[in-house]
Amino acid sequence: MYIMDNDELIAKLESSSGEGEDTLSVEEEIIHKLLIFQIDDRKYAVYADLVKEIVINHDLYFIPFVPPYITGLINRQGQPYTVFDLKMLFTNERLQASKVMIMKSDSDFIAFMITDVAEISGIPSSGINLVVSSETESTFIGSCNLRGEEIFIINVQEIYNRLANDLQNI
Amino acid sequence: MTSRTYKTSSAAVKVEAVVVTGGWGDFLINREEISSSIYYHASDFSRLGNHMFQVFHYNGEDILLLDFDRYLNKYFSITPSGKSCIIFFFDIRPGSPLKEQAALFMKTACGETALSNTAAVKITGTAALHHIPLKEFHFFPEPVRTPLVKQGILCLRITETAGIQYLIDLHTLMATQLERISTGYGNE
Repeated sequence: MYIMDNDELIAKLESSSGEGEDTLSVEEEIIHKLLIFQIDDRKYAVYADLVKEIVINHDLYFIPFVPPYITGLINRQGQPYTVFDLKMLFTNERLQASKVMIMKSDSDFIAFMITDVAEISGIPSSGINLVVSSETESTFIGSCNLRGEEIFIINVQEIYNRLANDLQNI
Repeated sequence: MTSRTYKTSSAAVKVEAVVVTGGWGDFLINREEISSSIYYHASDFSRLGNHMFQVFHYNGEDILLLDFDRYLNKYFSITPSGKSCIIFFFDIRPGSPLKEQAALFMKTACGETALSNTAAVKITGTAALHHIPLKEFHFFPEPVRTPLVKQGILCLRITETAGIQYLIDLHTLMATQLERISTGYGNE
């Protein structure tokens, strides 16, 4: 019988479980479906399963007492959605666009103005570089490399939280 | 023992609302909030000052008046225009923050200490009474709902013909604006 102390036991267990994960990740790596969209020429992504629909040339209704990156409300089947201008949020410049990406949620009715949808792409987990931040909040979940271009993945929940936080100061 | 059947459909519940329409869009005011109204020709108010709040002399009383056109201009970037305007009069609810804010403003503006229990709002446009099914009203989506409600913009109605209509609470809207003035934002 091979005798090992507890430290050695734990070390072997850790290394063996690590091997197991690697094997699993190679065989069953999760593919994330990302919707790549453009804000002007710049590409960004969101997880595709968070997107409900894309609408074109829809009326936007102004609302006061909100930060400038909120362009207004859009009506979808009687439900108003808050529309964000991500260009205003990121660069402090207003986006001129006619498409709106409606996000899927039962409680947070939000949408984003976009220039266009570029593509829907399957990216393996290993292809996504998650943001490592000491802060809990980050506008981006991470990034992926698509044909040599780095594309940032929007953290939808954090953008919603940012608005909630900013509204407290208005 | 007898049993009763009640109609419980919310579709049957209707709100009696005044729809104020101008070239700029529509606002809704709960009819219950308004005690009376008068139409004026817009030119009658040409000499009115260019402040959001005014002291309006009516029926021997000095009444606090909100110039809603100035409110629209400031917060909605709308410049209402038209030949007719309406003044809605309403009774200040007991215990409303508006009572205290109005008293402070009237004392500062004209030294008035015997405050009228009536306040008024002047809007350029036309008004009509509608019975609107409750189900046609929607809350603003969170998180924008809370700050808008605090400003007196309670909810909205979306129609195919008129677009979006905002239901405003005159008490809250005026009280928050008066509070801004008293805390130094000015009666611009």
